[in-house]
Amino acid sequence: MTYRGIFIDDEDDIYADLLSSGPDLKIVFVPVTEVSGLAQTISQSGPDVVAIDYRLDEVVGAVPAGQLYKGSALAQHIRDIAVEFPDRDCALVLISAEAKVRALFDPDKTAHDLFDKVYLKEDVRASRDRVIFELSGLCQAYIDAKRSARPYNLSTLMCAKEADLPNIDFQELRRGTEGAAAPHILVRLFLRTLIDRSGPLIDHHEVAARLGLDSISALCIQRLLHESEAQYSGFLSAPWPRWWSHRIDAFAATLFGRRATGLTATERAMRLSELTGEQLQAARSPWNRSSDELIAFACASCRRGTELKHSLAAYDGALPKYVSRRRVCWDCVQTDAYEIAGLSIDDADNVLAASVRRMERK
Amino acid sequence: MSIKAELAGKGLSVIATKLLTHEIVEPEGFTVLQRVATEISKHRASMAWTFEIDRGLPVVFSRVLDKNGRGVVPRMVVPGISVDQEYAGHSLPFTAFDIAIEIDSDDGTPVARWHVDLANKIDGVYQDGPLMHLQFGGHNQGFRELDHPLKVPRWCHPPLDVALVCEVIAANFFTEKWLELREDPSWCDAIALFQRLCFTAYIEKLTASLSVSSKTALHTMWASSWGG
Repeated sequence: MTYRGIFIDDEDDIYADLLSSGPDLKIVFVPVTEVSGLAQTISQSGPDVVAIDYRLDEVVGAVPAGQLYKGSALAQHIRDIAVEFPDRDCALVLISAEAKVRALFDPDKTAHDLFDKVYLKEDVRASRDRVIFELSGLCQAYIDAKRSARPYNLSTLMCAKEADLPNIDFQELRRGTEGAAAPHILVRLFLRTLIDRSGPLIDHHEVAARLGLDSISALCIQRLLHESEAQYSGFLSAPWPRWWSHRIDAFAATLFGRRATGLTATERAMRLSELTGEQLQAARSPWNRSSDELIAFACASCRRGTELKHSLAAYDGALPKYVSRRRVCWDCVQTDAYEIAGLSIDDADNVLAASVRRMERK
Repeated sequence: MSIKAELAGKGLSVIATKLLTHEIVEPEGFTVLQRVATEISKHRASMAWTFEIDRGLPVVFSRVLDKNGRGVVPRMVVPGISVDQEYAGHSLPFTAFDIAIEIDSDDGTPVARWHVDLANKIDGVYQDGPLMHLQFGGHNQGFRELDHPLKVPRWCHPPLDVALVCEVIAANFFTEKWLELREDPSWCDAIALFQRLCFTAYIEKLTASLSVSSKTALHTMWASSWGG
């Protein structure tokens, strides 16, 4: 299937061509015009995805100088129409230059919920195939959501089995799903709290950490993992592969005879190497490079497996109960790499963070 | 008097939520408690369940200050608890029981460790000590040189499972917050459930010992006597 999309920018039309280079996505460039009329035109044309640049006000074209607007204003109009007419809802992403995203979009917190995803123009150029793959999957998710009966059913969407239900039985998740008035509200809930965060679902890096392997070695046991039937196959699983956290835990407990994270990474890697016949590399603590640590989760910044002992809590604001708090390894704290990843340290751990930066910790 | 797994799981979930709301447990600790609650719930109508809280992902409580103003962090680990309310051996509803409170200083050095556990049985013979006991020390992960040199005394003590250890930590380290918690009916209902699970058989045994003058209570509670 070929998904259709629109790219709106006040100057660059090259990104429409870049994203249309494969068979999956055809994006047409639309220049900036008056905001509400443009939103209506877009909505009525029924695209699968709309990509918008953040700065639409730098090149004065068909819009009078006093009525110039930013991408967030257009996005708000498109979302307003979608709430009234859910069948016209579509994927909405921001595609902008890194400097503009960092300087203008990041501080504009009210605009963050309008877009399903934010892509840097630099990333679209460098990782075009990945972006096309994700956008195509996002388009299909909207089509699936529009076809689904409302109110949405959480377990149906997640393709959950009977045994999975207690692991997703959280009031805020259930109510958020059932109360989603349009597909974009459902997509936002899933992306922000289930796909982008560890909780009932985890990504490859978390799986690797739980099994005590480095992320590359964890790729060598894909067959074994697939046999575990832990792979998530529900809503948004195609563009963003995830694993059921509790199924991975159960699988690991079967392999190791106890909870995996109570064993050192070395012990887990040895057992898995015996089982698969592969020479698997144990995860090493990013702090002391030892694989004799209790590696348990992936650092929120570098995504390497790390341990409670040598990590700090990242500030997370109000957190849904089913989402795990992010932690940052001491190595990323010491090098300040976590700041580049857009993370900050929780106030409660700031004193410790300062001590780690001064290299006072072993 | 038996407690179904589903009810125990829900009770533990209530306790986890209340501890998080009162900032007694860290979000990471809440996630672990919730994980255990869900695992227990899955046993539904069963009267038996097993779980572990490993050292890699322990229940982490909020940081508190010691008497010298230095930060310490209490944690709870459970090498293993197996509940079996239909167990035909000793009258306690546990076939395995080992739970520990570990307290580390800010720099990660162990400060103290207590554990409540069931006496070990090797080749059919129980170790010396009460069947269920409280003991100071044990194995300090990564700091074996700090292991306490004494393995005694083993204090005669009722079982305290995860929920009850949470209340012990709340009451001792976060007293002001616990004074509020103990007035919360939902908290009390949930704790009461685990008190019934942990205390009923233990108290019956202890009470029965009082009517026997030929044997001391400690003798009655001693592993080789009670465990047979």
